Amino acid sequence: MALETIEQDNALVIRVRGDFDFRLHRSFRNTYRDVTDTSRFVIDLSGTSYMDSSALGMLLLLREHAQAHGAKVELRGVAGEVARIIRIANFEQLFTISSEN
Amino acid sequence: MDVVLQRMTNPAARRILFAGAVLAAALLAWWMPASAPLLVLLVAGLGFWEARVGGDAHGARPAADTAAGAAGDQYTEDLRQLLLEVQSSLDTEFRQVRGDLTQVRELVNDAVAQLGQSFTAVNQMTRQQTEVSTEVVAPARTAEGEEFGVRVFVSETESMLQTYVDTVIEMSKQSVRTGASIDDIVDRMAGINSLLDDLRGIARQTTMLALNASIEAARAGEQGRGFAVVAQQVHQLAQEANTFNEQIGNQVKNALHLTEQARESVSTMASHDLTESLRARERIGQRMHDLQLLDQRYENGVQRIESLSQGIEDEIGRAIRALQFDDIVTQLLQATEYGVDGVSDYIQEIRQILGDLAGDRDGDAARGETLRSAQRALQEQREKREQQRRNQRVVTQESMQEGEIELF
Repeated sequence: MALETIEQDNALVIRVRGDFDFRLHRSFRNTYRDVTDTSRFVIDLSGTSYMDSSALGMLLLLREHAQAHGAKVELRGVAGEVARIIRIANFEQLFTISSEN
Repeated sequence: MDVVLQRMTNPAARRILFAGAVLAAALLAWWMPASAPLLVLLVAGLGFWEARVGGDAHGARPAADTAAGAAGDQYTEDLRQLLLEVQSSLDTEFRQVRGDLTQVRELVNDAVAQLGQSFTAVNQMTRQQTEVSTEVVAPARTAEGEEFGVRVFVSETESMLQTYVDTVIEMSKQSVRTGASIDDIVDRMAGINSLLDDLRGIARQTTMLALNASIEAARAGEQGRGFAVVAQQVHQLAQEANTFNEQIGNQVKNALHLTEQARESVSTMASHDLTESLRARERIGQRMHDLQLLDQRYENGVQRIESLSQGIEDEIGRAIRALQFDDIVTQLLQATEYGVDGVSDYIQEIRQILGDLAGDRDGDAARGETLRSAQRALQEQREKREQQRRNQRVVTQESMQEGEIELF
């Protein structure tokens, strides 16, 4: 599975492996669409090798969902090419970002 | 008495002449060091002449006693002639020296004036150079005062690229949202299919019910004929329901096919590779960084030019202050000219005194008086000149101390 979810410290951790693109859009939404009682969504991108604009769109939709339920979104394990994509999208202003895994 | 006087007068006259010549030579040597060797020769010649004539006078005293009168006149005349010759030679030299001094003064004045103009011009050009270098580095502006140039162009390109990236991301977001809606529609379609299956089951059961009813009607015989008609109609209705079911199922299948196409389009719209934009953005960032370095280099260059210009200005200031030597040299040259005139006057005076002494025939008292008055006159003249010279020195000293000078 390209997606893996873990409940951790009152947060929903979603780990994305390999390519993060439109093919994941349905399963990605399914990981969070019914979660309304968490305070934090953590997207672990340490295993992500590639991201396109649809991944950024998915993250923005997750952010809308989180905001609607008073939760925050954190991007974790942001490094290399993924970090450059995140930077060009100016996501530093929208998400809490850390390079740690 | 006459003889004794003659004997006294001639050596005395010689000594006075010699002393006067030494004095004149010393003065001249002081003013004109170049002429010193010539003057030394002249004085040595006079000394030799004095010693020889003096020696002759002592050695030939008995003979001289008798011929003293005639010889005295001759000596006096010779002395006068020699003195005239000396004065004439010295006058020529003094004229030459005076002319040279005037020429030197003019040359120095002209050169200093020219140097002053050149330094001032260099100063102005250095300032203009600094202004030009500042202008070259300053950012170009449009008539409205807005900056333009490579920096602005790069900045605008960066802004446009950011807008593009933002638009792409927004479009992807909406496409993903549409994709989610399509997913929901597909889910609903699956719900309809499930309901159709239920309907199909009901129709099948209805058909079975109609069949059973027909069998029961046949068993009843004549009394069940009417019921058989109803069972036949129920069977027909069940078949029609099945046909509807199939039609609805086909419509749903078509709709699912269309949503699959829509999902394809949405996928294409959502998926943009940002790698190229990323590269472009990084290239622009690098250009901006390069431009900043270039700007820094230009700025450092201009600062260096300004500092050098300030250095040149300072040096020129010092040079122009140094050119004040012009005033001092002019004063010194004037003093020298004045001194040459003074030496000339002294010689003239000494000749006059010697002439008076030689001409005095009224005895020791008169000669003594002449000598004393001459000495007083010379002393007064010396004191006057010393005072004038002191005043001149003060002026020269003061002007050398003055440092500040206005350039423009």
